[in-house]
Amino acid sequence: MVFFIKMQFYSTIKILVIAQILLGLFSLFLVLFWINSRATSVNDAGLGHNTEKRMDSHKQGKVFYSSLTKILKAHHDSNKKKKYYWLGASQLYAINDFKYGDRAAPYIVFDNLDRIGSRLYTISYPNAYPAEHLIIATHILTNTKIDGLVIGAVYDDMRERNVRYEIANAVKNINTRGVLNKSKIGKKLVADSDAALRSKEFLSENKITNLNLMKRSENAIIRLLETSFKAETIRSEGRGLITLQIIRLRQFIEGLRARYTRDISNYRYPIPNNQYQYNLNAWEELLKLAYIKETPVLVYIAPRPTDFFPYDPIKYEEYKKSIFKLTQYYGATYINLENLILSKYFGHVDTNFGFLVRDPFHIQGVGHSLLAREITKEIKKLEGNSIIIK
Amino acid sequence: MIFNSLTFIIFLLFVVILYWFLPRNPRIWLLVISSIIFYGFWDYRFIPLLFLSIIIDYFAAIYMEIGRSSKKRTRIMIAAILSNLIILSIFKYLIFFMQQAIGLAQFFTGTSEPVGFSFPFHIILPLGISFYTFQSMSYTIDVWRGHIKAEREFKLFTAYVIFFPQLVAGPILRAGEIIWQLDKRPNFVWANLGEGLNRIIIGLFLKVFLADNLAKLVNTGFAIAPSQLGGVDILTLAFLFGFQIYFDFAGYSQIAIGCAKIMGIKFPENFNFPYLAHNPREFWKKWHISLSSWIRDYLYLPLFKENIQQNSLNGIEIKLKRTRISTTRGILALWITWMIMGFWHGANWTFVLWGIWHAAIITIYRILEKTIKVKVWTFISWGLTLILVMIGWIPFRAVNLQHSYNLFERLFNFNTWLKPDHLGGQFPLWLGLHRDSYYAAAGTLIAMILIWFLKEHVFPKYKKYPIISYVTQILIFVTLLPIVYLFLRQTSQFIYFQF
Repeated sequence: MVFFIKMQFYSTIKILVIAQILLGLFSLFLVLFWINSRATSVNDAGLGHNTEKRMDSHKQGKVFYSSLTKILKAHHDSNKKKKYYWLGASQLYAINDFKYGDRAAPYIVFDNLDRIGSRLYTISYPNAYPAEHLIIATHILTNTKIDGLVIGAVYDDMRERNVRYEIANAVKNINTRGVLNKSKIGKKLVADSDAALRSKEFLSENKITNLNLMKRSENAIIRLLETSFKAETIRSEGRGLITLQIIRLRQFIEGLRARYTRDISNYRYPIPNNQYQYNLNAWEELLKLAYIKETPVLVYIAPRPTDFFPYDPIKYEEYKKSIFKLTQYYGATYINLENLILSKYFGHVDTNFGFLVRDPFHIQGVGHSLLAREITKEIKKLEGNSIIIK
Repeated sequence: MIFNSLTFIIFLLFVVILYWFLPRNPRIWLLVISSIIFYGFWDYRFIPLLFLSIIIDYFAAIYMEIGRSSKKRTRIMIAAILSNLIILSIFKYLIFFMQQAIGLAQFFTGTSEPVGFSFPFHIILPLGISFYTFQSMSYTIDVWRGHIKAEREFKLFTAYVIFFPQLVAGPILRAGEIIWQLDKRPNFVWANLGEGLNRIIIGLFLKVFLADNLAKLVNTGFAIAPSQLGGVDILTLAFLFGFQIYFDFAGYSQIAIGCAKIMGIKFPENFNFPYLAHNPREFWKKWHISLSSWIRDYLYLPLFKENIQQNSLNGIEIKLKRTRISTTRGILALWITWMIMGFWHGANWTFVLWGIWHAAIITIYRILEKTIKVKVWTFISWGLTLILVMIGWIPFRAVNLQHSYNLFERLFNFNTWLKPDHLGGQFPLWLGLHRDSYYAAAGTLIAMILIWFLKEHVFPKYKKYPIISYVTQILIFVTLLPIVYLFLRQTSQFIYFQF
């Protein structure tokens, strides 16, 4: 008590303020040091335990593309006889328990097709979903001629809705926009894409657009800090880490029941029906468009672990039936690869429930080889395919 | 220069160190020059305009003081005010009025073709023009009223108008509160440094972490066509934008107050947990206090013909010699004031609509307060006020009147609250936004209440142990500094810059 009263003296305040500044700076350096010393990049943290992103290029060309403009340019520049596209999500590029020599499935398929004079182009974004696949497919099919389209069907991605900026950009293309606008779901997608673009433009409107003194000095300081201490890289990584913690907090709240029961099957964020319907409509429109353009399509049900079931079993069965019906109606090839890969070849993920669970999606190198083998086999079959009208 | 930049941090460091080493005159010059640099970093072309406004009010005040007759004083005051308003109108409202004139001409001629004239030029809105114009106008009016004496020292008056922490987005300061502080040499106080730094860090946290991250959800939500959204979505978006603008502007004010504090200058508070107000009138005593008290003292009360006995102290307290004026006149004054208040925020009818909304809810509150003598539960009055204030942000953020109408139409059509039968689903409400939007709105509200509770009900109990207050201050600083550094990006201006 006497100590506290004594602390009220002037000199104490001076010491406390100096302590405040020094401790603040110390905590800042500590945090920056910790971020810098982390082995795993934050971008890969969402992929699960010991799972990393492998978008390696093949010696004959690029395998994965993120820019729709670049992929079309590469397509037109290539002199290969046949050209195939593979649309998917993070399963295509994430490898669990990576070992030297492991390759992602698209890389292996690329290699296999290269030997027979064909080319594979892969576009995979994290959590890419049917409506986004529709925009990409429309963009490709209306602006060039292709020999086949491979798409992975993932039940969980039926929940997604917001079109990401990179894909939304495709609706700026008159041909793509025109074709999308012909259907109800396409119109919605154009509206959603415009919304994404407007949102981005709204941000940039508020940005300092001219290179005024402010912008120039800020750029110079940032450049200096980056070249001297990699400060910008560390800051960006730090922002990602904080965002990741917030996402984990959300998962924690949503998974309270699963945590309590220690049963992952209790963690099921329901897929809203309107979003499910939205994506199912996108599936239909995509297959219809490919049919009109006489482009063979291969739809595969993506592999999932066999020792636990991550989805609502009734809805999952309904989903597979719907996809099957649509593929049959529009003459596409349907294969079910859900049991292709044994559970032991799947990774693990910390869902923040207090225990590790089987990663429902990301696979090891062996899994990638198995998936690549099946897809190569089916693509080869597509070569002789003709569209069957049902 | 913007506060959320590394450039500003370095600039502030240099200015503060020099400030404490210089004697009185060079110190005031330092404030003038550093403020010009601060402003010029953004756009140096408008510095002459800033000085035009300063010169007008500086000389007008001196001539008013010299002028012996009351009529002459009034004429000078009116001339100065009109000059300020003309400058403001040209840069802020000219294009808008021309657009309205073209619209009217098209309406009467029944054509959508151009009707004979178009804009020969593009006008850029000078940064902070609404703030510094109001600030220098209040000085002129105060001198005319005899509340303060005209400042004869040009550099001191200039420092008052362009003092960089408040130059572009307030708080709008009264000459009587600030000039004497700039004039005398304050003593360096360690506690001021500690508190000032804390305020700056808290302000930056509110801006770069909370406001900028909420902005992503708000921009995405408002970019969706209203027909795709349900009532819950629109209410959520209104809440999210309400929080975003609060963190953005309160953050700016905190930084401004903190910067001044470090230099030994006390600024009035600009926000005081406005979203915890129990009625619309209380809300405006807690939100953008410097503007609402400015509007009250220089617009509403004169319109209401209230006799002002003593000017506001810190923009909050006021002593009035109340005269009995008819209720109709009072309501009329209120509505005119609010429309002007809305228009002050920007040349768009959406801001006027926002002003009208507040005029309406304050009017209804006044009528109910006088007629219904039932004591409403605190919780209900708070909830109702919060919802009404948040709904008011819809036109403020909407792109135009049509967009506002569409959003209101969806919000008040209760069929859009529930999910149509054919969509079914486990959850009966129509939810069209990403789930993060609902979490963010609810989480922010809960966090805000918790912080208010700590500040109002927990910390005061430990007032007798100052050490606890300092340790809390240190903990806040140590926790927020790394977050602020990581998120400190020039992603966006402060929202109030555009006003």
